[in-house]
Amino acid sequence: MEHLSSLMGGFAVALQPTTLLFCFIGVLIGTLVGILPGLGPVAAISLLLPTTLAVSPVNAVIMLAGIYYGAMYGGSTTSILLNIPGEAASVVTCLDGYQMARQGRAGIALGIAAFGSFIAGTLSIVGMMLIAPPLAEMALKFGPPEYFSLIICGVTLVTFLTKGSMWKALLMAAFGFFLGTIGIDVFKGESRFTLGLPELSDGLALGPVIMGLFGVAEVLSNLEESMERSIFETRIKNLLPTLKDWSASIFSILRGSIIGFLVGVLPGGGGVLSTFAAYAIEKRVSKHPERFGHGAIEGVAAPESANNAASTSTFIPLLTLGIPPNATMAIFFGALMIYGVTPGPLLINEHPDIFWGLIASMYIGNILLLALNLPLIGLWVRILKVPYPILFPLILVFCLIGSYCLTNSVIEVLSMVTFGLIGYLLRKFDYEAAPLVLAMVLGPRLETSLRRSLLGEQGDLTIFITRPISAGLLIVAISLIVIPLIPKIRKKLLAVPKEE
Amino acid sequence: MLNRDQLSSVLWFVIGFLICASSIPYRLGELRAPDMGFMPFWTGVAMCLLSALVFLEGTKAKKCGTKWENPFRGARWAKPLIAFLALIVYALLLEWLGFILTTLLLVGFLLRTIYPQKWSVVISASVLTSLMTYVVFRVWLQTQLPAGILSF
Repeated sequence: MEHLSSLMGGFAVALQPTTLLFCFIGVLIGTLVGILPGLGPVAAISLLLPTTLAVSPVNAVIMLAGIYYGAMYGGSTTSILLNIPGEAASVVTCLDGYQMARQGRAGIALGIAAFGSFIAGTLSIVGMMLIAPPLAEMALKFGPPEYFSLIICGVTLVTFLTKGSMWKALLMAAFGFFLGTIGIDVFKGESRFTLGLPELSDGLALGPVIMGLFGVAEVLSNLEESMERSIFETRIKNLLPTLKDWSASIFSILRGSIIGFLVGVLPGGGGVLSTFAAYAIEKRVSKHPERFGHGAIEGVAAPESANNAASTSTFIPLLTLGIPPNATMAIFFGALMIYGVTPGPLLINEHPDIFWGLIASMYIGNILLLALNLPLIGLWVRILKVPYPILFPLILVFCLIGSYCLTNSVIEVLSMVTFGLIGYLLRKFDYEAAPLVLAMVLGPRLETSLRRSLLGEQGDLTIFITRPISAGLLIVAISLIVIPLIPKIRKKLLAVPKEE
Repeated sequence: MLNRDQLSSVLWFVIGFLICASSIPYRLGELRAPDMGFMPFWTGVAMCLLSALVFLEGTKAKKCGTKWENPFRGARWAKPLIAFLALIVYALLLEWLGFILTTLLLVGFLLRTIYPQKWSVVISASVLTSLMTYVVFRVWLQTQLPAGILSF
């Protein structure tokens, strides 16, 4: 009952005409960003962050959130019509969505993606509404040792979930922790690693780093490839799924919603992982798994539902624990700090307008997205016809403006370009940038927690294992590192007697 | 010849070592009172250890036949390089020439050199991009953009 009245308060905030307008702008930009390959929500949010400084924190947060979940909706369009995922989270949708389009069912695929996203998004909001407040209450009991262990556990989980080598991911996280130490030391008030540049006193600005590692690096990588692409020419009709389509996909939507919600809460989870998990499970439970990859509607419904559910639930760790679980939430973390709002367990009590306003705006945003995606598909397709050789300079200009506007300094532009090159090289050598960004964001908090814990306990390291929550989190972190090694060790042990 | 993982891990080891070395002047302190250099020093140590593990992983892969492969082979690496250099020049000229002129030159240069377009497309797209972004960001959204020699 208490939640319901808080939610009503949230609706009172979100239904203000100005707030509604910002929500609309957010989901509109988000859809556009999701459609355009090469410009993701991370870069878009970073780009628009400086422009939100003039508006109230509530409106700014609602708009930026709209960009994020709007991009998840929009990403499906390119996957279905072009076989090019507008977003990484829409990669799986290509498998069956594009096949459906080739079979003349592009409209149904787009329709079920939009409806599935709407249902999943709405269910995930309900879940968030129920889970976030008790989780925040629990987090109030956390002291510095618990936060230290939570950050270690979260970053380890991110490295565990990234593709490729775990050691490489952990190496990136360590480098990110180092980057997080740049700037003024909070305990001593002296500068560290600032190279004498006053712009670095507050640390490396997150926006340019993220725009460089994700936006510029993506463009540089794309420039290596031939950019000839064609839109699958088909008449998009019958956007509304039939009863048969509904009966085939409704349980996929529900399963996708649950998987997406759960994966979204995990550090490193988010949209991408949830879509792969939802698709794999859908294929496993299907009576006709051979249809997958050949235009199965469940293969569109489940991942599209999952990525939207995840894009909502991923706010939970940020808003309740102050721990951003992925790169986009890291940008949100930075944005909230700029607005003077500290993400964490006190946020719900100190800023109920932001928390409940955001939740209410998500309900409204989901309805707006449904209204935007279905009737405006013709317009989105026309935008897709803008060739990439014309589009990429525009994306770069957006990133340049975004980084300059943060502090009106060329240093930020140079920082973004440098991280663009670093991101490009990291891709070449199969290193992932996500653990680096998360560790960089969490680095200052990790250092503060570590030093406070050690100062408080006279350097006694056992504090981290004698407090139950901290110990539990460290056990999880260690397990995540050890588990992947067990099969290798076992294989070696079994191989020894044979050799003897 | 080292393979890709081995080569990159050596580079990361050097970076980790440099971080350790440059942390020492900031004072490490002791466990009961960690100082400014404590955290960066230990992240540097962690980087060195992890890069050693990546090296071992690369060595194991090499034994299984993974040799050095040029990550840029077959790629049109000249285009990203040109774009990167253009962005550096943009950053250096931005405050002197101002947003409109620098953006116009950057977009025109990229359109003409990366995927060569007709001059009519180059001129119209670069003029439109610089003016439209100026109107949207400077006039509508009131963000600060450098005026440069044009003084607006």
